[in-house]
Amino acid sequence: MSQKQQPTGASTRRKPAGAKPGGAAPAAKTAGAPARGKPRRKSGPALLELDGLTVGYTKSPVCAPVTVQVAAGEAVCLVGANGAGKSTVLRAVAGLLEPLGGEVRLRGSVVDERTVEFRRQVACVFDEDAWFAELSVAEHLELVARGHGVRDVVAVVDAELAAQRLSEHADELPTALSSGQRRRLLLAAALVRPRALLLLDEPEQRLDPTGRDTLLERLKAERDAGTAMLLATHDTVLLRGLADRAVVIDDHVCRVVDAEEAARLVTEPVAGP
Amino acid sequence: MTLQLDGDELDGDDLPLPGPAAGEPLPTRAELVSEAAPSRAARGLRTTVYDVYTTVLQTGIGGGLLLGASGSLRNALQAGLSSTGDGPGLVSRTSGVLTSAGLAVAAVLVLLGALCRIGPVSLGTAPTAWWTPLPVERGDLLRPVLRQRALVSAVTGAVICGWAGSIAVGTSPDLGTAGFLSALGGGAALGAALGLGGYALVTRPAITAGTRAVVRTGAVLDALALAVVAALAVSALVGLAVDEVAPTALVVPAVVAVVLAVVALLTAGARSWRDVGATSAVSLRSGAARLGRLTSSVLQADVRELGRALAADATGRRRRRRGASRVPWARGPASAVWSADWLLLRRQPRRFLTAAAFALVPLVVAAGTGAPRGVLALLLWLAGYWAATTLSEPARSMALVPAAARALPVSQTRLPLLRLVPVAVLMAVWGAVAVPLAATTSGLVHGETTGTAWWAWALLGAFAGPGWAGAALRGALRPDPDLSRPQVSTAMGSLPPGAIAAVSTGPDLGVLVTVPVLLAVLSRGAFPLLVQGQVLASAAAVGLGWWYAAHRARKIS
Repeated sequence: MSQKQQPTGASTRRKPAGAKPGGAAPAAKTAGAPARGKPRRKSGPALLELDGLTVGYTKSPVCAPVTVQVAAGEAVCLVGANGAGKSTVLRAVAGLLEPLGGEVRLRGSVVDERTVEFRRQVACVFDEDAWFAELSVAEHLELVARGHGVRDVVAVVDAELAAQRLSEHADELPTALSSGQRRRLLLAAALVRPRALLLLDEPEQRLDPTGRDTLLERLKAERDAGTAMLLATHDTVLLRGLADRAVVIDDHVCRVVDAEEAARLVTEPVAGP
Repeated sequence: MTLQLDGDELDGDDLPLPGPAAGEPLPTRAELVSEAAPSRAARGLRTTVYDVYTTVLQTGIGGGLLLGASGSLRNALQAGLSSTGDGPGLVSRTSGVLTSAGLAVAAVLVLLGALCRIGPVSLGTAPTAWWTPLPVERGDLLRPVLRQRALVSAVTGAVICGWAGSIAVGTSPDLGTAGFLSALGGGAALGAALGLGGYALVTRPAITAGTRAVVRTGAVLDALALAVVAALAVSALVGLAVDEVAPTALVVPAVVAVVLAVVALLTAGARSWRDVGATSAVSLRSGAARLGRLTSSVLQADVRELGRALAADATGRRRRRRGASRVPWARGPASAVWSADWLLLRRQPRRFLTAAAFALVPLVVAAGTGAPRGVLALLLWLAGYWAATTLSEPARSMALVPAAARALPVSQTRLPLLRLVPVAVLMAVWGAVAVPLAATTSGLVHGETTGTAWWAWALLGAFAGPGWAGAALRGALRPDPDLSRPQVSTAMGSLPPGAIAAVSTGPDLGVLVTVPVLLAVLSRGAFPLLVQGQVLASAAAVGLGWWYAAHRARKIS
């Protein structure tokens, strides 16, 4: 990837419909069973484009090339067995891994995670310690929100802490939290700031059932408010309740299927080595 | 679900359970160790010979360096004595004894603080994970290790105090070999007792309390060491009058105090020996994790990581008024970065104390020894770089979490420059105070004319400060030595590739920044041309430090 273009397009200070100041989408009123079916293909230009994206390490691809487009207000899931390459694809989309081939474009420009525009538009929740270990939970969230110019920060952060059931831990250091609470902190850090695209790597991992229900409702609200989402998951509830489409990551061919088909594939037994 | 085991197909219910059958006795510690011993002993003759050779060689080199340093220091002290005339000989020797004893006590306190934080037995991560769940009385497992560590502590104390004793008493030209050996032996014995008892004392918090008590005790020991050094510095500054105090008057109270201390410490040691089996797994794991960080920081020649590992308190909780903003002054990306760095710095007041102490070093040396002006510039270089390093540590810790930094809308190129700003401001203040102070005590401030006035030196220091901050920025993101490749033979012995770069990256820019200061010291005046040169040198250091940090940040992320 040699291009270092600045992404262009609409302002990223957009607030999702119904969102509180700062871009935090409101929690759903109920957390019941997810809506089934009705894949909603959004119209309009693609926000994110993966064009023959080939990813891997030391010049060896880990999966077949991926081609898919994600529009604003659309959720696309990456599914596949452990080690299929879902996280590697996400890391390449986030600009953390040089693609072996193909391109990733955000609003028509090749992604460069080092630029302000990319960092302003894209929020990532990956399986890594993306917090300042010596700042408390609330301080971390507040700095992220203030850094993005969110107004009424204290209220926004407190609301997000409550939504993630972290209010009691607001003044603790992240290292004092359980793994599930840390996961919720990462989600809160992504949701407390404005974003046009959410990249999530198995966000359901380590969450308790209540946390998973909350996650599904929050992500549905995000999607409905116009945020584009690309997420890797093994969770069939999340797939059926959230995904508009899914990409099956595989060694031979990566194909786009509907959410129901993806959920069926996820529950199929995986052949052993 | 079925499973193939030795050709037989087993159901889950048929899987053999590990461990002794019901009614069988549990293995003893001796049995467990004897089972593990053969695998640990499978080393081969070549490895053993190499280990012995390396140990002998390193001991020889270390001993030679120690003896050489002792001789040089003794000669220097004797030269100082002979130049002071009749009366002050006794005075200077008394001061030498007090200084040596004070430094030895401070060194032992620092060592004990480190041992306290590691824990009573400092097992390491793997043995801790293996031992803590074993169905064996924990005291049986820990006592051999406790004995070994206590021995190391006693030997270390003996070496430090024996060396200090030999230096302090050996400065008397008419003492003779017997007197010298007595001082050496007495110091060593005292040091061994202090080391042994002190080690036993600092194991108590880990055995009977928790990780917080361990951190607290370590901090107290560090504070005591700092207080001893500060007292020495103050006595050097104000010329504390010890002229009237005869050494013999101090002997009896000192002996009584030492005997009482040794008895108390050995009593604590006996209690620790008795209670070590009560050490919790939490305490052991905490100490093991800390030891792992310490080991890796030593291998990577990273003294800042060493300090972090010793000071880390992962269970902290920050208090705030409910509903209040934690960082109300942040108003955008840049101020968010500054706020985060400042927040961390404010929570670590010891960093300000350390920077202040570094500012005093050139002053104390210049006042106490009348060191040559070249040495003064050298000390300013070291003090400036280390002060900047200390103050930029929070920024560095932030820079090492690139995933969190990406959450802020700041480009990767601009981020290191933003992080540099608070440190540069603080260092400008530091330089504006430290440089004129050192110049004053060296007799370089004399009058109100341009170049020799106090304010001229302050201006020079204020412009040098940001340059040292730039050098510290370069040093902050330097690459670690490559421990995965074969070591390289050098004049200093075998070193991992990149070890020299790890030590020199950062201080090299500090040298550039110090050149105008050096010229000012040598020419006895901070003249306008030198101040202009300082501006240029500091600007170059900031630019180079920023470029290097942006380049390295890309690799780290």
